[in-house]
Amino acid sequence: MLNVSLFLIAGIFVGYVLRQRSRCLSITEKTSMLFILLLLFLLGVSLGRNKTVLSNLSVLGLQAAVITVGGILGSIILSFFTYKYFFQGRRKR
Amino acid sequence: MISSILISIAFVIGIFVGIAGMLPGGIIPQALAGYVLYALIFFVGISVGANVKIWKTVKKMHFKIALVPMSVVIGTLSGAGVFSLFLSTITLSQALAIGSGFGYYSLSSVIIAQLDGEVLGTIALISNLMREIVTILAAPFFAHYFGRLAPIAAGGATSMDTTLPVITKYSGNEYTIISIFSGMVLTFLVPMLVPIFL
Repeated sequence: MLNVSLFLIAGIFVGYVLRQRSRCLSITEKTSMLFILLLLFLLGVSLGRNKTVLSNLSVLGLQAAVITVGGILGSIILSFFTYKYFFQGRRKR
Repeated sequence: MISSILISIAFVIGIFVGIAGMLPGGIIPQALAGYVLYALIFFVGISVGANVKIWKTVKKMHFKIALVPMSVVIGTLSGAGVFSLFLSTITLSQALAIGSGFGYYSLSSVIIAQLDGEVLGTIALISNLMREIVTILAAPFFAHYFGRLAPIAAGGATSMDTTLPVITKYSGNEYTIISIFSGMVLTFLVPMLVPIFL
């Protein structure tokens, strides 16, 4: 848990130093994509191996949907107030 | 667009390889996936650090532009937290970790899979993918009933790329910069917030 944050912060420092080197950065982005693909492949493999999870995929989907609805609802309700008091209001006056 | 297709293909091929048992347990040690994740996070950090544009945008625009991603973070976490009470098998902190994906399904799901396990990783993948799809489909509805910031808020981290066209259409051109800014901030927050909750 802590390790993830440490690697992120180390990366931010290196990125700031390299910010003018666009070739370095494009290589970085391509490598990130490759790593994401590899990790998602591995996630798929461990899911495919796990027969109980695989047969309960609809249950996982339902749980995912509940969290999605909660997250979207919460954010659009709060953004409604932000819009009303900071964005829309100023323009009218 | 191409990257979303590649991501789905990699995941689906993985599932079939797993079902067929083509990769026996010991071949790819769990530790290797951990090292790849750390390398990935390091590279994500490099993109964050190199992106000085984002702070220039805040300086140029009124400070209130920062309220947009802030509302998305607080709103998403409160909503996901409250709704997790309906789910007996998902704890509050697990729901907050999934919510912290803000629609960035590829990165959030691999972090969660590594820190918690493949079950929560898969839920995170589905949940954050749904966030993107719902935003694309319901943007006009959100803009109409919840104001022009609502499609940006619903899009979360995706409001800088995949959901930007639909946001521009229903929130208006003058919200394009706000949308890109909010999406960038949230994209950077994903690898910071997700591990905090797990």
